[in-house]
Amino acid sequence: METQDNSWLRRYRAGDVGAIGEMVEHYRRPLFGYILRMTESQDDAEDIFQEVWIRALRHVDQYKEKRLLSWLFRIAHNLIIDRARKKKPDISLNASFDDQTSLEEQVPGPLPSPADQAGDKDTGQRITIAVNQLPLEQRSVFLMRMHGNLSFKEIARLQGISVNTALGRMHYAIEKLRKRLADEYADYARD
Amino acid sequence: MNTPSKWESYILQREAGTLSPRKQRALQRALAQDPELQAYERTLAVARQAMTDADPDKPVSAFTLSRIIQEAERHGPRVPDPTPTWTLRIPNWKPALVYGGLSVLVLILGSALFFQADRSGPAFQSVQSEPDFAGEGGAVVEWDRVFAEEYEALAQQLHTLRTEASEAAWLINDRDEEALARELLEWEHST
Repeated sequence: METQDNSWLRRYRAGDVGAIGEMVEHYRRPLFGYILRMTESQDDAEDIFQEVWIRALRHVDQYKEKRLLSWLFRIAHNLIIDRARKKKPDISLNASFDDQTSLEEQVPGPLPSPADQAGDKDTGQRITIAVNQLPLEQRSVFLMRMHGNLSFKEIARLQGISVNTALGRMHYAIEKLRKRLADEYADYARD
Repeated sequence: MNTPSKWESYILQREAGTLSPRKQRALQRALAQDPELQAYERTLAVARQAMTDADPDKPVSAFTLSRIIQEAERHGPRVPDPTPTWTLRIPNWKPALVYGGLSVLVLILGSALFFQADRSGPAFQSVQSEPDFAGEGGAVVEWDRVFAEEYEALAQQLHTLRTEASEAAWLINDRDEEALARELLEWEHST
């Protein structure tokens, strides 16, 4: 049975450029949400989002993943890593998760905006801020799980790490969120 | 921070939908007995819910979308070129192996025949070839037969010529003697 991904790609190969528009719209939210939280601004996110699709279109013949979204996330992840390396050339983004402290120091997430710090106590907003402050590699695994709904096996494969490392990074992310948002969790728990 | 415990790892995998039923049952039993595990699972659920609720569905700008579509139109779908081209492709090793093997076989056979011919020349001489008078074999016999026939014919012609010449000579001699006698008689009469 033909998947939706294959149906779009077949139409595109047959000359139907409109299939690309449908694909972009279908995957816009998980992909752009992931990129937006992994970068520091809307402009950067739009640049990377555009570059992801351009690269995907140029290399569509090399598409071999089971899911198109996994492939798009792989391209996005590599672009984000490249951009981070250009900004911090000494960083090792594939270091084991035992090096979390140094990575956290080297690659802080986007800082909360003044409006955020001014006291917007909305739980979702606070979680967003907490997620943005996670180290890049933990944030990447966390967001691929939450936005892309990718399995840990898929995340491990496309990031070039083991499944246990992917699970470890997710675990650290959850633990940090749990500590930083203990009050909010308590509120949720009471609800 | 520690790496995830077995049960925490199970919780993460169950949330990702990749935990086997047997492990799910074991996890359920462990959860019933451990409040810390329950808190961990609740944290994960809250984080996911909060991310989903708080996730800003920010649209990608129309400019970015139009650039992607333009790129799709510019590169276009990659329709395979119907014109066949001769290319060396590794997967087609079988025909190449067959042709190569045949070529080597022909080369070996040719070499063997060449050296064999060099050693026993007459075996490869045709009846039209130069006769080997010192050798033996059918070709020599054939040449002998041809020469014998021609020799016989020449000998017959020579014999015929010789006989005719002899008869002619007798006639000439006879005629000369008669002419001489007549001349003598004429001379005697005249004297």
